[in-house]
Amino acid sequence: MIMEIARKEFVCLIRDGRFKWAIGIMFLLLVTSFVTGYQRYESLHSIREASQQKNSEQWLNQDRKNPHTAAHFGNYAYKPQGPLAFFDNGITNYAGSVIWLEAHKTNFAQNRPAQDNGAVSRFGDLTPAMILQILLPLLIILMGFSAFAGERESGTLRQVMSLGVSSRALLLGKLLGTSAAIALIIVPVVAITTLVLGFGLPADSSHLGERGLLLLGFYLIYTLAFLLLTLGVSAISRTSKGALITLISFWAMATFILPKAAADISKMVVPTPTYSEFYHLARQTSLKGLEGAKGLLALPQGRHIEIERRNLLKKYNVKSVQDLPIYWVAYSMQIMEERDYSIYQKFLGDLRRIFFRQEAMQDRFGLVSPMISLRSLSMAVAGTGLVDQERFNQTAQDFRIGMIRAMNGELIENTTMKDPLYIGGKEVFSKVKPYQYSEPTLSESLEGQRMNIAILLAWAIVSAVFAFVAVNRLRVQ
Amino acid sequence: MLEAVELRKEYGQNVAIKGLNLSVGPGEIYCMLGANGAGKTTTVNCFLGFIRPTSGRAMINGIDVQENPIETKKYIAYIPENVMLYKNMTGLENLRYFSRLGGHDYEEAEYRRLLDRCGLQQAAVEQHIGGYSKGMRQKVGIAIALAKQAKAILLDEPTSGLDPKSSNEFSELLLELKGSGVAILMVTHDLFRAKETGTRLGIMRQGELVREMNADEVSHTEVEQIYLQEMQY
Repeated sequence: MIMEIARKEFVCLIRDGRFKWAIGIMFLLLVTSFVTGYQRYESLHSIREASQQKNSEQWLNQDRKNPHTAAHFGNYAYKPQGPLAFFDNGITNYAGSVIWLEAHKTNFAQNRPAQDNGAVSRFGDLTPAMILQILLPLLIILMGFSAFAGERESGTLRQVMSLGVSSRALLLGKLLGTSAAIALIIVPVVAITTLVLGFGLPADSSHLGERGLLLLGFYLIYTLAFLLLTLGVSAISRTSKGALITLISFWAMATFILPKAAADISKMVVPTPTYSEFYHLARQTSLKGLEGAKGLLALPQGRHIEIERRNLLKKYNVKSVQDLPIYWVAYSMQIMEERDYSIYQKFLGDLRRIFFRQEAMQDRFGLVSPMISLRSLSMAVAGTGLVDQERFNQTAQDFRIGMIRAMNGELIENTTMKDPLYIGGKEVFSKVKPYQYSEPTLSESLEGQRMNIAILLAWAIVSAVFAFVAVNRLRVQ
Repeated sequence: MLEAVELRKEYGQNVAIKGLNLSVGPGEIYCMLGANGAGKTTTVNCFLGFIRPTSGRAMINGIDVQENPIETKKYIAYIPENVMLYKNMTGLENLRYFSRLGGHDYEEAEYRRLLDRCGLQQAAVEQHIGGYSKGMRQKVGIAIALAKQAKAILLDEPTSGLDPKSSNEFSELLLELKGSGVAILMVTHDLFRAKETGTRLGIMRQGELVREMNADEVSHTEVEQIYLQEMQY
């Protein structure tokens, strides 16, 4: 009986002219998003690869010079994207993708695509993820709002219920039938994604198959939750018009208003320091000392250097830095670099915690909007979320201090105050290996996503319970 | 087969049915007459389990409808005043769908034969219901009821919208079903058709069954006179 109802539901849906239009538009949008997503990914990927390669060549082939000057010449770290970025580009547009790594200065990531775009970019890129997160629920609503209410209005529900069909069988049949119609969208999406990932994209990713399956699973749970919610609302609504208004209102709240409100509220509750505030505080701390720190970091910069100088003189048993067998100027610069690195690590860590707290606060809004939970999960699995961005920032800063250690180390070991001249070439610069980004493992990507997984599952379960309760109270009149 | 025992339905202050006692046995056609709002359709809805009675019981084949709504529906078929079907499906597809929901499946030829028996033109069988007239929909509704092979049939103004020829054919169908032992409860305003096909006639007024008579004991004129007389109160 359930299969019979499902078959009828599917047949009626695909014969409905409105459905044909809706699914046609949806399909076109998805194809467009796949094409643009692929092109964007492919183009950015090749630009980044080429730029990183060029940067390495420039570093190695720069003119012979003092190694510290070479550290000022610097390096660039480009954030590579995982293959799933074409499906969901996450925060890529709003977070920088390249960092200039130079001596004495800790820079933030630059080149945010959103800076180059107009107001339209506020709606986000047309990606498959965006369409599935926002437009698929709308399609589900349009397909299902009249499932029960419409049948009640037209009188067919009375006809069906007079045959002894249980309301539970009716719900399951409608669920299956509508799901089969939705599969007309989902199956091509999965097929195209698999093809693109399997053959089309130039980059590798760890656990790509698992990531793809997880994405599919999360999107299916989201689809199921919306479908059950739609059927439940249709069952309790007196009219199909009432059901449509209720569902569209919820959709608008869940996909547009609440995500924006969640972002604004999280920034209000956990404010982000401005760029100048951050640097001013970090600079002042470097000069005056880090409060609460142990050892030399707690001291003002001048005293820190002085103590290091005394320790060094004592170590080499000399009275003046002029008599040291190493180059004091380079040594003191390295002390400053290490000091600033530690202090900036502290402040960058604080900033990172602010971002993660903001994200966690936004994720709590998933309780009222399943899209918020899905969005976070989708970004995390696609490798375009905050975890990936912060990993890039951290690995780039680690690369930076490594580069400076190597260059200053050359000076420290090979020159003295009496003979400070030292010019290095490729043999020196090659001691700095090219920047390599290693993406988080799948479990690292999913770390911090437990709440979103739980909320998404809860949405599906609560929607199912709601739908069954609603149909159990189904009235034919 | 169909039995109402002290059946009562109240909507707030309004009483739709006042302690109705009624019994329709196998091979019997009970025609329920009465003005609009007399409680006829409410009675049918109680048998269908669509309305929960305030007190009393509606029973089908000895089973209380409220206690076992799904089980009791196995024994009945229902034809409403306006048979509503799925517009995006053909008459044949609608019949097949409803028949399968009712627990019966046939070869396509049998479905076509059923539709033909109910007077639906062959050309209409493959047409979408969206293009059907009310009478054509009624015929499909009758075919659905026949396909169910139910022991009892509930009819709520079934000939509404049918042309005289189709109405007559429908009456013949009812008599055929009666002959095969089906219990039929028909709500109707058509006194002539009630007298022609009914075994017993009942007149309802303001929720009460005020008069019952055997159809073969009264003439058409007497039925009309009794009906008008009861309506004057």
